[in-house]
Amino acid sequence: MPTLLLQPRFNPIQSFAHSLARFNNTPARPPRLTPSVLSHHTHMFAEINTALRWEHGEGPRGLVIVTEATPADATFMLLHFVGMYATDGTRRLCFVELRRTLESLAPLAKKLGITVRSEIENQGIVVVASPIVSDAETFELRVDVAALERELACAFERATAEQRALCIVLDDLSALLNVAATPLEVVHLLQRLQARMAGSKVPPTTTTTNGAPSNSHTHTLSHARSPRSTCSWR
Amino acid sequence: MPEVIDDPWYTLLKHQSDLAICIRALETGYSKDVDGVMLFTQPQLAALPSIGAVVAPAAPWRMPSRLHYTVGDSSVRVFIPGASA
Repeated sequence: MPTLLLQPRFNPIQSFAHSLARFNNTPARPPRLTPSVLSHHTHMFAEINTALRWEHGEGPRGLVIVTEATPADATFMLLHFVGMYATDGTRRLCFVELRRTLESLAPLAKKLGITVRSEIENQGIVVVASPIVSDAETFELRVDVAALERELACAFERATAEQRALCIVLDDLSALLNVAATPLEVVHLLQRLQARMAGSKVPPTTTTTNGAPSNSHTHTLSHARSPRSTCSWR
Repeated sequence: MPEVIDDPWYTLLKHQSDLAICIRALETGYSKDVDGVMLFTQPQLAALPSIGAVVAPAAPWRMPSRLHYTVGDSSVRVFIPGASA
């Protein structure tokens, strides 16, 4: 059951700070860490951070897949990323509840040194509700991908307005397949999210089932920018 | 020898990803010292040319491909395989 983590390949704020420091001919300062980063969470994962060079709040960048094979449980790694990015102060973490709610992970997160509720209140974490909805007439479950993309676009714009980088956690993708989304649809959704994270304005072209090119992504992104779009901030 | 990860999602998404982490139990069975193994794959780095190219670029740092781990009350400990005792 994979969990995905989408993280910009570079942090524009840090890059700016580094270039500014170089311009002034002074050495760049390491990123300033909030006290919560230096607390229990860092101590919990100190060995992993050292072994993988994820120190000073610098975790992996780009698209990260976390898979687990039963009976192993990868929840601790997921929560490590949540703690690492949400408590940074320069980033905002967007948690998409596809299978589990973040509240359900809160007790375990607390053991690992992450106080989920306070991070949500401090807007370090944005929770996006599951896009899996039930049809009113047929009671069939379906995935409202457009709604999910609207919410993520909204979170992205808010983070950009606050000059923060956005990190998206999708937990987990198997839930989409369980409600009849095809793997190809999921891959295309990821490609669009990656394009957005990379700052690209041209989403990748997909083909419909009859082979004709579709520009549904463009529609989705334009909807995301419409004033009617809503986002839930818990 | 590269680790074979038989997860369909991994196969589907590995070419797009920058880092793939697979967490699984030990193949050798239960151990009181180790909870499982973490496998790390960096597909993008695997595609880079090896030394021997005309101009060898500075080799990027590669994270360990395999670490054992154990989750304790106060910390998550990691080990190089064979070094947990």
